[in-house]
Amino acid sequence: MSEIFVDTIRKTGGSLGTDIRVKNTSVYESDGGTSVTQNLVQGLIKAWFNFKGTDTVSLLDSNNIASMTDNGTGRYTGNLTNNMGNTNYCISCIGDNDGGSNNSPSHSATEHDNNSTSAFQFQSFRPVDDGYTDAQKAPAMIVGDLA
Amino acid sequence: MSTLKTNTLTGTTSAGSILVTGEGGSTTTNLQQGLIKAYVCYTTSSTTAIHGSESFNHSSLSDEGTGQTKFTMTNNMSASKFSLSDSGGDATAGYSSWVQDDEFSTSTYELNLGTGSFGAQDGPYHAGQVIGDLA
Repeated sequence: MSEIFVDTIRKTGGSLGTDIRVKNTSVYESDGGTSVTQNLVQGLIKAWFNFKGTDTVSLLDSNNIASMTDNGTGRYTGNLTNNMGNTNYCISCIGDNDGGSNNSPSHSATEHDNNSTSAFQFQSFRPVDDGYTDAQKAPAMIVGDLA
Repeated sequence: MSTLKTNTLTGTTSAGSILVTGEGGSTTTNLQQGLIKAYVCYTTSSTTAIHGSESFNHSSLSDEGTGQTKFTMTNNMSASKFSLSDSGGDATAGYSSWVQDDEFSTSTYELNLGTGSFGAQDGPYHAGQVIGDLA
């Protein structure tokens, strides 16, 4: 087994570090520096975004998200650029509470049964009556295995 | 383009600390600390079980009651309080989730699912991610 001892990973001949390609069997030593190792690629967030869900839906910032689709009040579909390896990936999302009003979305949910390897669905709800409501902003992330 | 092939990345100054240059090129960030240390996608609807094979660094999960699921990790965290992120739902109503302070240890944590008004309920889909320092 080969090992590379290094403190900083950078692009060859420069200061940027964005051109590194890591094989999916790579492992890293734990933060505590013990003998524990874990898979590096499985530890990466595979997609993330923050989007505006009111009026015309738009992505504010994202990685590996091709587009967002508005399915009606408080209901959205996210479309991935690079597909996941199966439909059981993990999604976490949070709705914007807009100053703590009971009429603003704070609950968010994902709809696992309708997820595919290339798209996922999620919703935002009002805490006051559990009704669908548009999220002013909604950050989320996806982890799991890429295809 | 040069290709580096290796099975293990290890810091020279500190074994568990490697810096990578940020996307903007002006800062560096710690590689190990930026990784998700454990994740799980599971259901509590009929039986408490992992969806497919979507679990990483977990050795088991157990049903602790309505909406309550306790997880045991394979590789321990370095501290008993670490960061958790989660979400889930059934697409038809509001959905809440929370953790219990006294259920954290370096190897375990518990997620609780509830209705929009925080009444305990089971659910068809929930996902959780652990972030923090491994032991």
